[in-house]
Amino acid sequence: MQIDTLVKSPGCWLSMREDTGIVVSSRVRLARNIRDVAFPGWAGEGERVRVCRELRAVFDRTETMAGSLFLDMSELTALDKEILKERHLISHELAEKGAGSGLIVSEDEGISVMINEEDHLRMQAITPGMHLEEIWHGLDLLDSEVERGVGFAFDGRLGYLTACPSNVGTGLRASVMMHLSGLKLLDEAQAVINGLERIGLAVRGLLGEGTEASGNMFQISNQSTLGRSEGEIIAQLVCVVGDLVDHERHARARLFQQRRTFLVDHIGRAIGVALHARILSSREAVDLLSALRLGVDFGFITNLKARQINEIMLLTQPGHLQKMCNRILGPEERDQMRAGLLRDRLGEVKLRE
Amino acid sequence: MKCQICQQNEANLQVKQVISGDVREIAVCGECAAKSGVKEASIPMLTDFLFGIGMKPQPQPVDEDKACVECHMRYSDFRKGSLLGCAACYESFESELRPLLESIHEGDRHTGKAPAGELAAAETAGLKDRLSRAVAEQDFEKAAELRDRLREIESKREAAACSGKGDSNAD
Repeated sequence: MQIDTLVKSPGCWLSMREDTGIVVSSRVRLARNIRDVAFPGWAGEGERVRVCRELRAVFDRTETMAGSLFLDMSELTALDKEILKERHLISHELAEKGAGSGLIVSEDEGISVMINEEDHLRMQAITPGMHLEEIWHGLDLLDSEVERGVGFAFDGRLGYLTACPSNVGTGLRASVMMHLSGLKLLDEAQAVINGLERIGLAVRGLLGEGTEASGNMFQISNQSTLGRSEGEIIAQLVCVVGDLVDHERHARARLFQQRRTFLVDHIGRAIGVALHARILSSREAVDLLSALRLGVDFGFITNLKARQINEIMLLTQPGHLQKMCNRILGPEERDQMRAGLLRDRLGEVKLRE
Repeated sequence: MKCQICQQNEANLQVKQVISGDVREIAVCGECAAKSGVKEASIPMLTDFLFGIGMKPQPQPVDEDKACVECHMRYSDFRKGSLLGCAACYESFESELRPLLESIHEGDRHTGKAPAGELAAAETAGLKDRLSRAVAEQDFEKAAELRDRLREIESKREAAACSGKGDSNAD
């Protein structure tokens, strides 16, 4: 499998399932390091190359990652790296690395492994909808498979040892991407976010750390990795996300019952702009898609699926737009292409009251 | 006895306080006690008044040049990049990292998954402790039971080592 086939692949995790509503996707990642080897940031290039080779061989022998693709960071173009970032397969930090750093990714992109990013290993499982327990179970199995081939840095008291002390212990970060446009339209999202931060959860925007919540998308994850077991961390998040879904449903019900004209206007305007705009920035596009998603969830738009919206969200990002026409585009050209793509894909969309 | 705060009035109150683990008794007059709010029986407030620091322990000075015994990363390197050099840094900078870990995490002890070998090692160490205690207390029945469990774990470990495989235990 090559990166070009990956880009065109309909098997991308975002379009795998139909059940994306308020919870857009679930993600779990584990940080691990090899025993008695310096962490990647402190090790020399030779050591990183050796570790990378060793780890690739270990993953090749696992059942979970059979037939997966390996991409060496030193062999990828800047555009390829951009595509991988937009697909949530690599971080900005890994993209900056060269020889000795790489990515192993399963055919459906559901499991990806960053080698020599901040830690020797960052293993990630991702899926649409709310399936945290299920993907944790899968990642746990992969972790155990890998552990049979390589000794992990572990301490009886501190657990799995990581380059950054904020990941020590379980090395587990579980996160859920939520579409909270009902709460946002009623101006109640900020209060909810403050509440989440008070109970020790982190809230970030669509594109991870340091980004604001565009398109009414919020990424909610555990902050602490030491003190509670993996099962307890996941259970807390599942419980909080369940409550948040109830809050969002309640907000949407109030919008529907008390401010229906405002709601339909919001969705109708988005359809109007999406079908007729000739220039669209990334930010404007995700906001329009958020309104369309709300229209689909309410049944005001019937000939569009959440899965298709996910796909458009991915394809309208700068890297994907450029890969599709196989050349580097300036921001203005990208905005025009993005508007064109929305018109093409959403041409049949109609508002039904 | 004179008040230990103003050194003028006659002391008519004895206040006990704990500072960094030491219990001190201080004699104060009614006026100074009222000023420091001791009426509300607030010992930390009086401590604040007397020493200006409250009950919080003073942070330990950090040696920026301290280096990890294994990878030789200095603490100042960690402060610059926020990343440690190797697993041994956790032990080398144990006292420096402790307040940081306490501020980030909910607990100070890992309670989740462990690699198969580590789990067996922790269990064996616990059993050995209990075995020595049972022998010391001359509880030979218990000691025999613990010895058998230890042997069982050891033989399982050897078998796993021979096949090159081991099962990991989730939480």
